[in-house]
Amino acid sequence: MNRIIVLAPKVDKKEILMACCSGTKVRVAQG
Amino acid sequence: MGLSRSRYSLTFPSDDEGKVVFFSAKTAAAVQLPAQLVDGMAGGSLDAGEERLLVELGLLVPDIEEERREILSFTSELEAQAETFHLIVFVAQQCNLACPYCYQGAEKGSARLTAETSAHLVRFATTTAFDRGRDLKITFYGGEPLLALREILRLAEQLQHAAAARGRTFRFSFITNGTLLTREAASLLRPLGLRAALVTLDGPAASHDRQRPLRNGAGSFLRILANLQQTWDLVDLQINANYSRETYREYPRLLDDLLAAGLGPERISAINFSPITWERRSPVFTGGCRSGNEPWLFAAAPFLREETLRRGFRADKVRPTVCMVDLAHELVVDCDGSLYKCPCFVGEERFRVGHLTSGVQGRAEAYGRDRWRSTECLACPYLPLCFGGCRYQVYQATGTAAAVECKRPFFEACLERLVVQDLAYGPAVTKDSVP
Repeated sequence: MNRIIVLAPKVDKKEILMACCSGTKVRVAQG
Repeated sequence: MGLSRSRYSLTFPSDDEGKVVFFSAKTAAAVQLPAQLVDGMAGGSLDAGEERLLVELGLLVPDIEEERREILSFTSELEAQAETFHLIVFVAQQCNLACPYCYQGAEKGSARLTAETSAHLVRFATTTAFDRGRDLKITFYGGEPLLALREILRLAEQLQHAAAARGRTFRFSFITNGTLLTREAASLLRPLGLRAALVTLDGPAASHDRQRPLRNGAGSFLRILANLQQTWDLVDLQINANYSRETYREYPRLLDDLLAAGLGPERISAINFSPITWERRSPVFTGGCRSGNEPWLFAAAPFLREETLRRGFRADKVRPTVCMVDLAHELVVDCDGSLYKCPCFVGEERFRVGHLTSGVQGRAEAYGRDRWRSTECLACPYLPLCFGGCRYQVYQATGTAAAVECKRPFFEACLERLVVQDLAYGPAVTKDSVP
C-alpha cells in the first residue's frame, strides 16, 4: 500500500499568481 | 541520496490519525503521509520511489544551498519563461462612482489616453513584446476604464493589427466597477481581444451601495448585477469584494444574491475578498486596516473563503505569488505614457521608471527590488507565498515601499486552514467544464 498520497500536484509556473494579486488594492483579472 | 526537507515546506495535522499533510509553499504541492515518515526523513526511512516523488513535488531537496539559489533566481526564471508581456494601462482618471475609501481620492483628474499616447503604446508593444516573440496582455484600469470606451476600441484595434502582422496575439481585460460593462460594450470589445473583467462588488446591495455609490448618491448594485447577467457568456467574469471589520459578516449574502440572480460558479469564474486598507494619502477616509496582520483578518479571510468555496465558487488557490514590481515583463502605463512598476504609485514622480517613448530607465530604487533577498526572508518557510508582500501595503504602514510587508503572522494563523480548504474543495466548477 502506498504510504504517500498526493493531495495536490505542484503548480505550473504559468499558474503562479502574478502582478498585484497578492496586494489588497488592485487584483489583476486572470485571463 | 542525502536528501533534506525543503526549507519552504510545512506540515499540518491530518484528519487521518497518525498522518500529516506535507505542503510545499514553493510548488503548492501537498501530500498526506504517516507522521513518522516526515520525522524519519533524514534517517532514510523512505524508499527510492517515495524519495523521487517528494523531490519532484519540491518537498525534499538534494541540496539545501542549491534550493536557496533556486529561490533567489525564482523571478528571473519566470522572466525567462514568460511568453506574454503584461501592461496595466490607465485609460481614464475619471470615475462615475464616489467610493469613500478610494485610494485615488475624491477629486480625480480628467485625463484620458490620447491618440498620441496610444500610438506610442503600439510602438512600445511592438518593439518590447511582438518583435521579441512575446504576446501582449493589457489590463485596462482607471478611474473607470469603460468611461474611455472609444479610446480603448481605437487602441485595441491598432494592437490587434500590430500583433497579427508579427504572428503574435493581443488580449485584454478590465478592472472595472461594472456599471458600464453592458452587453453592447462587451460585444464591441470581444472581437478586439476582450477576455476577462474583474468587477468589484462590496457585499450585498445595502453594503455595496453604501461603499460604492454613483456620483449622484444612488446605488450601483442592481445596475452591475444586470450587466453581469447580460455579459457572462461574452467575458470571463471575476469578482473582487472589499470588506471591512464591520461589514465582512454580511458578505456571504452577496454569494447567495449572485446564485439567486443566476450568476453561479458556471458564470462567475472566481470570487476573491480583500480587506479595505487605511489610506495614508486620504485626507477624509480614516477607516480600513493598517496591516494585513490585524488579528480580526485571521478570522475574516478564511471565513469568507470558506463561504465562497462551499457554494461551489472558485477562489485563488494558495500558491507562489510574485509582485509585478519584481518582473521585467510587467509594467504600468499612465494616461500620459509614463511608466511605473505598480498601479498604486501612478502619479508619484519617485516611482516613475520611464516613458513609452524612452522605455524603462534605471532600477527604480524607491520600490526596493531586492528587499526579500535577506537572510531572514530566505529562511522563512512562507517566502514563496509572498516574496516580500505588497509594497503599497508597507508604504501605507511605514511611508516606504522598499521594506518587506511580512505576512508571517497571517500565514502562521491562517495557512493551514487555507490549504485544507483547497484540498477539501478541489477543482471547482469552471466555465470550461460546463457543456
